[in-house]
Amino acid sequence: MSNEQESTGGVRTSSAEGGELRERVFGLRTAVLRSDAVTGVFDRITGRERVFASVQAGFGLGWMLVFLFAPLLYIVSLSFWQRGAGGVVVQEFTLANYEYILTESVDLASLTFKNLYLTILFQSLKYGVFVTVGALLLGYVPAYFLGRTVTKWKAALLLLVVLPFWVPLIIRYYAWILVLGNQGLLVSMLGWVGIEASGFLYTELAVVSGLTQALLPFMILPIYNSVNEIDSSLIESAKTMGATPLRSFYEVTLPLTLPGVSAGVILVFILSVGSYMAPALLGAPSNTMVANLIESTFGQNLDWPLASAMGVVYLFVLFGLISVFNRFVGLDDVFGGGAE
Amino acid sequence: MSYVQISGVTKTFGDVRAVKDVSFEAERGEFVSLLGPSGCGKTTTLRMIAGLETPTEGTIEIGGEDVTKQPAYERDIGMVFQHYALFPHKTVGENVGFPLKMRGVDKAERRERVADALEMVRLPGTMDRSPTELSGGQQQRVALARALVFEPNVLLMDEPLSALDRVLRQQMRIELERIQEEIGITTIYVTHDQTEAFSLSDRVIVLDQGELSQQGSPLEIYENPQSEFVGEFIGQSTKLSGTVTADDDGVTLRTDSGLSLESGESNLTHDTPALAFLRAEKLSISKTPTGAANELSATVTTVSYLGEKTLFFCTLATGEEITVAEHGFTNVGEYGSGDEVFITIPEEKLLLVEDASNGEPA
Repeated sequence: MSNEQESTGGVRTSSAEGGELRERVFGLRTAVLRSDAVTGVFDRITGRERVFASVQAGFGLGWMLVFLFAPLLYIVSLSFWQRGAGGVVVQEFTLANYEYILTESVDLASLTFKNLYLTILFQSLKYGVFVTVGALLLGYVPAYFLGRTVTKWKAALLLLVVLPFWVPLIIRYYAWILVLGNQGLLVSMLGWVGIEASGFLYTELAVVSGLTQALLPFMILPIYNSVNEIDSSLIESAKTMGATPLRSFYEVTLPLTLPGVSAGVILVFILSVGSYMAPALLGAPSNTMVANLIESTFGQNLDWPLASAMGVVYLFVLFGLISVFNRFVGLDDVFGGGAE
Repeated sequence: MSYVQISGVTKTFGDVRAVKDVSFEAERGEFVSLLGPSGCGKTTTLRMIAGLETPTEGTIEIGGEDVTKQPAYERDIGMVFQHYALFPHKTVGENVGFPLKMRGVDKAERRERVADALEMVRLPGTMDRSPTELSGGQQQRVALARALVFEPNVLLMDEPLSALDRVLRQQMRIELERIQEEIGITTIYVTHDQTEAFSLSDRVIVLDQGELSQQGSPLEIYENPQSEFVGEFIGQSTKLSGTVTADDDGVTLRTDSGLSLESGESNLTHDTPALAFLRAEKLSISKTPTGAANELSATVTTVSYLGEKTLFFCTLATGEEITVAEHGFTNVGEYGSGDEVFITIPEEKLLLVEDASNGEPA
């Protein structure tokens, strides 16, 4: 306020008329700003945490709406349109895209099943299962020890788990190429123990193992977290009641880490099924996964409607699988408030 | 030969000696408490008896068998943990049935014995509920049922009542006493609470900084503390240090501040540095001199009326602070801060302890 008065005063000395006008403008402005309607709005904005909370949530939701749901909606509508000459999208309704990807070369009577999309989708899901099982087997043990061991090195060990994230995925896959390749690390190491091998690249094994090592942290971290939350007196009490270490693991630790296992399984499965780079870099053409097929349909074939339909079907299949998983495990336990 | 025998047990964690050369025993059916402040090694001692820690030195025998190196799951011990340690993913029935399941008891018998155990802790019909639905006191009972259902040789309890509120704690204490008497199980109980230890135990073992300070019945511990630590830790008392003068007339403590306090019986010899513990409730306060032997003049600092008792915080003429507790005192209004008062210590109630820190005994 004092600043305003000073400045109006300053103006007045130079031009009395202008000063008066300014004063009236200021007066009007003050009156407007102090009117109930305006102060009411400001009170609502500044005075109520509820408003702040909804603004914050609204921002997140708005972001999702603009950058996730809107494009998704566009893809869904694309999938019902047609491809014109030269890849032009013709906005006319058709079910041909879905018919093509779901029923082409599928003959339920004779059980012939040569549909490209469904074959590759199935292959993707199969790789997803392999990767998930592999990551679970490889990830549980380090997660368990990270969670149960008391050491001053814990922070450093956890850092090691997430360290690969600092290296771009593509570089990690190139590193994996160096491991599995013809003159790669693995071949040399096998050579030292007298086993002849000629490289493992461009195989199913390469894709699955590459994905497993890339996604392992997504399995380790949630399991580590649930192991870490187990009160050690639970395990001790099991022991005082006669449970051998193995038995107490089975009876106490394992059930209590299931939420972490489920979270890890879902994360790794979703990420691996939708993988694009691993099959592209580590696999042969026969190891193509669904993301690669969609990409080539979009890019090389310029068939946006067909590619969109592939994307939509993929989304529904994944969603369906997670819903089934939810039936058995209960994702509320996994991502909701945890145990209690 | 006692049922539980702890001989010269020491436990070190890195550089820290949590338990130092502790030896004690428990007879069959006896209720023994390990009492001490936090960090005194009582829980570590209990965990070694349970088999959850291995002693660095010394042996632990149960029922004549050396179990020092035996893992927890091979010992026949029921243990109640401080925060109950009930399995959140199992029902109450499965929790209580767990030790039976580990012992290969078949389902039907298990169900029967679990029901009996829950009956004993007065929680019938809770078998199919989740322990997380139960209140703290109820969880405590489930934990107790679980520790007793397989009829172990020894029951260990680690501050089992510390997580409960005051009223519930008292109820559970009475309940514990009833159950322990009913089944007559050898019990070792860890607590920092003197009331719990005294009301439950046949014998109290006071631990201080990993070392056994004194053991005996609650009465012995309270009326005859043998060390400075026990004198200070047990009860509420004022400590005065001085030197013993023993002659034909009896034993007198001459305090460093110049007071002369007559004592009844004492086995302390002439010229021994000693500490006197003046138990607050054994002192009496009055506005006029009574002419008794050990009468000290003092000034009231604060009067604290607590209902069943009143605490007078006073300063002696010689400068020491002293606390007097009067039970059922109704003349509180007559006393205020700054009042001159007279404090009497009955000579037979003067507790003298040799002062180990003040030079070697004569």
